[in-house]
Amino acid sequence: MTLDFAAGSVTALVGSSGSGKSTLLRLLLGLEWPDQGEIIFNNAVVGPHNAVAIRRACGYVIQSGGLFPHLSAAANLALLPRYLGWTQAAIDARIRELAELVNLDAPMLARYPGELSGGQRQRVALMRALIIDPPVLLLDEPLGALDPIIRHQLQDELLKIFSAIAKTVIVVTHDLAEAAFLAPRLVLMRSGRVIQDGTLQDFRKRPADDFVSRFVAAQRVLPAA
Amino acid sequence: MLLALPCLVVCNMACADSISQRGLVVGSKNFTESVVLAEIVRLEAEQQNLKIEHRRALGGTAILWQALLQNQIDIYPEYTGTLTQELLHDLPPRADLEVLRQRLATIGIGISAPLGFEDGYALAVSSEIGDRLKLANLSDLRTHPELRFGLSNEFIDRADGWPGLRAAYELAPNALRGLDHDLAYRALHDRAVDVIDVYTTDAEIAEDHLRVLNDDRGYFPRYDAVLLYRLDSAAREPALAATIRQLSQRISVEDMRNMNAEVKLQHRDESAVAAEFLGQAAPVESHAKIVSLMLRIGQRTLEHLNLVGISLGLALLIGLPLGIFAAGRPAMSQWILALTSILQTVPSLAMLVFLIPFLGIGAKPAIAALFFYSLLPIVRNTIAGLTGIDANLRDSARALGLPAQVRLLRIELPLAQATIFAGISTAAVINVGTATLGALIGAGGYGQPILTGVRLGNIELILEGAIPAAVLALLVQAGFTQISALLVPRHQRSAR
Repeated sequence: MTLDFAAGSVTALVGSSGSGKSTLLRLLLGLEWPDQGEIIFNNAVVGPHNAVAIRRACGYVIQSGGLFPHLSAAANLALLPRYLGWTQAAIDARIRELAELVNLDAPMLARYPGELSGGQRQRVALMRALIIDPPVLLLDEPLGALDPIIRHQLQDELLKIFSAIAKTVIVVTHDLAEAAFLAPRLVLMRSGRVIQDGTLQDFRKRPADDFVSRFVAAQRVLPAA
Repeated sequence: MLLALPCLVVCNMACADSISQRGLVVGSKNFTESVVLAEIVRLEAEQQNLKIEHRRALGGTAILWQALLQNQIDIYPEYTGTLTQELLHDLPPRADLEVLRQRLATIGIGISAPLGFEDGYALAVSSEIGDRLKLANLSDLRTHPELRFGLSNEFIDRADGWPGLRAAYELAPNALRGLDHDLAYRALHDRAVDVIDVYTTDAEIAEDHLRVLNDDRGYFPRYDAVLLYRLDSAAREPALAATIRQLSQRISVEDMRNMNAEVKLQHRDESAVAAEFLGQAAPVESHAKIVSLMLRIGQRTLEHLNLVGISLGLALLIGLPLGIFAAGRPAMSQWILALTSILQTVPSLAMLVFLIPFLGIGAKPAIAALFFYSLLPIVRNTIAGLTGIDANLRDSARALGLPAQVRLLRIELPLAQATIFAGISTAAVINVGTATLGALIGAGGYGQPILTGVRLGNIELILEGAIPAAVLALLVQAGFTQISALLVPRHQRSAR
């Protein structure tokens, strides 16, 4: 399979669990290596030699947030910029900017991940992914563990954030409605293969195969009152 | 292990350096007669205006022999039978003194004329059982397999002890237990066992009216008491050679049995008993009497903490990096864990004997042994702590683009901290207990009064070491619990 992600585009990877969506992100980050084929990032093949540079060019958020429990939210955020030699003032300024972007109250930053709600944790995780302003944002089921109301609210906010930051975004979700809401381009995967790559409209009107139709039809709508 | 070797070599050079400056040293084994004989040597040598130190009650034969060969001591009391049976395997079992002298000279060791008594092995039963079963000879035991044997561990192990005896007399007792020699008399008295091994000069033989069984098949070799000494020391100090000559044929078996009884049964000080035998004024300044109990315990606490602290520090210095190294390499970690586990299984006495050629006697080999015993819990828990970290967190750290070193210091070690700390705490508590064995090799600590107390059957002395050791173990445990509570990060304390 071949997939291209244009700079500045927002793409959603959808599919059932085990379809290879998350693995695709991990391959891109050099957390795993492909058995065959290659991943090209900015005209360079991803390999051990450039993995660290690519990881710093990509913000990454996972379902559980991946925040380090022994560090406060602020310390989680400061980890990478401090290593890169930013001044405390620069770090603080960036954190303030991002807290505003993701709508997080400043006092929350002093808390430890275990003391934050699920939604707050994902906001902090998103801030950490954006802390050094990478050109690419990779989100792996970022809202997967949240209750429906928070999830709904964060979907709205994510959409605003995507347009505000103008980055290349790849978001993985198993929820087609969420994917279609967040991204103009949908990629449906199954067993490690791309089944269809297009808009929701394409999926409905020109399904590549029966699986696409079934996947689209599997969205439940609330019955009329 | 490999990393530990350079530090052993450094210590080795340091201690080799100190040998050239030390004065004469007489050693003794960990039983009363040996301590008394060594005191006699010391007092007689001091009569000859020699400056001499007594390293008393060091472990067993192997430790004394190694210490003599490695120039850690100059002289110690030994028995001819032990030489032929245990130490020089190339000699016939009943080699005479001249043969022994020639053989020992080839390795730079001298042997004195007999001191005048024999302290051989024998088996003994209570007079009551002896009368009832009409036991007189060792061969009489053959028809009474129901008698329960309680033999000292050393006797069971040594070639001239139980294995040979059993074969020579075709003995097959139904029950055989290994005991400490000093506990055997009590066990016999309490009828926990029926047959024990004794030394023919043991004080309790007369006191408890024991029946010593006659060696009717002539199995046991002779155990004439002699002094073994370094020929170079005797050449350097002619007064030492004179001392050795002075003691020739000087001590009868009754003398020795009496002196043993004075110490073991009358609870008199070995130095006083030895001085009395030599017709000297009893020494006034016996450590046990002028130094107060608290000062003694304080001194031993310092010695004990020294052993535990240094060995634990070294184990941290080597064990933590080793664990970190192994954690990222599953194949390697199997090998490293296997190696540290093997170290853990080496019996402490064997470990100490093995270390004498490198580190001599005293605190250094004890610290090295404790170091080896501390490695396993520290390495194992470091590996377990690091490999047990949630894969999501590990990946998040990598995905951030942090280099391995920063991930280790800022994320992985803090997350593994509780587990690693538990390993260190285990090592420390085990160390406090194991360090009592340091007394076997002259390292001092709480083991000293325990060992002496066991030797003399003195409960008070045993408690003088055992109680502070238990208290220290509890304190160490409590201290570590306290520290780890402080170190627990806020996220784990507030977790519901």
